[in-house]
Amino acid sequence: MATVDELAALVQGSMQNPAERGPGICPICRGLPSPGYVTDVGCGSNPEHLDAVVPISYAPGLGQLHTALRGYKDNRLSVVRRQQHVRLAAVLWKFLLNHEECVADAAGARAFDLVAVVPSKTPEQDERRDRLRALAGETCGHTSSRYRRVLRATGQGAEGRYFDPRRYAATETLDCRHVLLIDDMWTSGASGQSAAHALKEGGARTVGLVAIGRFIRRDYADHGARLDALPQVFDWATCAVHR
Amino acid sequence: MLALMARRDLPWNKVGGMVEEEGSAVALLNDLEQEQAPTLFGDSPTPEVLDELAGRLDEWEREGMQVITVLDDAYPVNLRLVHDRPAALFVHGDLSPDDERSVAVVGTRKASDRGLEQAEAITRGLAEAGYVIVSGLAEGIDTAAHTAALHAGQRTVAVVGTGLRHSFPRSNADLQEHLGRESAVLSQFWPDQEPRKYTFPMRNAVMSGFARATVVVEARGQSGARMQARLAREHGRPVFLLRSLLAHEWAQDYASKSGTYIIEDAREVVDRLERLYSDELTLAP
Repeated sequence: MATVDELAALVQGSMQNPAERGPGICPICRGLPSPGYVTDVGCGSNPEHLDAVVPISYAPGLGQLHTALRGYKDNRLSVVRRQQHVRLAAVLWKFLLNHEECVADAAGARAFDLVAVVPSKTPEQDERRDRLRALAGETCGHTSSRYRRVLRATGQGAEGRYFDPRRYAATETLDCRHVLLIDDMWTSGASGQSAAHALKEGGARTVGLVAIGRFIRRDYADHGARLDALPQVFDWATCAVHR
Repeated sequence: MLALMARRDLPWNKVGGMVEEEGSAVALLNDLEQEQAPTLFGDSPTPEVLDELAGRLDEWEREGMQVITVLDDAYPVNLRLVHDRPAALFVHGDLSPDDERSVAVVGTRKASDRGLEQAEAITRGLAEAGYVIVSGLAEGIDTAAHTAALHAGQRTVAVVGTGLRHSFPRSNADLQEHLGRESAVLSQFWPDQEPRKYTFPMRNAVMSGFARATVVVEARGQSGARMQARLAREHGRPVFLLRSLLAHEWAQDYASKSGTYIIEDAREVVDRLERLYSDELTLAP
């Protein structure tokens, strides 16, 4: 049996801590704003329903972590999906073990009493793609006992990349719950903010999101160079809340 | 896929991922050519390029080479998991499902007697535990690893730093021929590619990606083996350094890095890999 520490150590070589707060870094998601802007494009256009957004690592497009985050869900070989699944679960487990309290603090919750995941965009996709649910609900022992499938994709609202208050709905009353919302990859934040909106509509008091990878397109504008200028290391002792 | 590789303006290790994201090599090729259209005169060159490549492909296949792309089921499983995956591989011989359970054994070309003995012992132990042995067909440690695997009756695969029409060094041409007949020799380069300084580090990335783990036997500071250790770590592959390497500063520096293990024998590698490649996850052992 593999241990969380051992497998997280294997992924560590492809991880990079999100940048510290400061000019040129989106204060919400740690993405890279265009010159003259405070937030990045996604956070600038989506309403902010999440009380905290905490990416674990950057995931540059077509880099190793991005490959893993795509592979665990969509690779056509089950052996590939499974191997990446276990490793990503180890990353989530180790990170939350060290930093869930920081995320709760940032979200204004005493502690998270419910764990949910951001569903896929359409009901059909969401039924077919159960890997993130399995990751948070089964393999990651830190979240599995608190996990419930409390969000569903409605099939309504805008397709794709934009925030839409109708995209998801809560499946039960969430009165006063403090929800830790897990996503594998944060790109524009449209899905994460839409999911937080649905959770709040369902009665949740706070929603804090942890995403394994903060996707950055290297070939967009000067993002590749800006990413390379940041420290290329990953330290488990720190997290985006405290940077 | 070959037409995309032939453009040479895309990073070698990104074409495969770009095609997978796009869903089709032809669609990506058309996109790229449309982007470039204003700078080109006349019609798109694609049909001619594709015809020429189809002719070459026939020629290569007649010479006994297979061309396997990321879109083929036969593409090596481990390589699918790393970002440094070539869009296509040229293969002499046959890939096997057994290759998924493989370990790369690498080290210096100028090996000491002790280094050669260590390479043989590690290889023997891994082979006895059923691991396919992967190496780079170079002089020294690589040759010792391939040879020891053959003596142990185990499959051994070479990932070479040239095109398949070349052998480097020449002295290993027979061994290359033998492996191509009995197991597999693979290359990410066009068959006519000659050995170059830049081809070997690219090859190390593919060797790391092909195997579950890399064992470094004997290597000095500026070596391909050390390069492979760095790449393997980035790929999420465990790196095993023989304890005797700790005489070198680079290895001392590596020893503390995540996913790196100092070992004395093959048993430690086998035990560790059994755990790391298990499907079950636990907080404490």
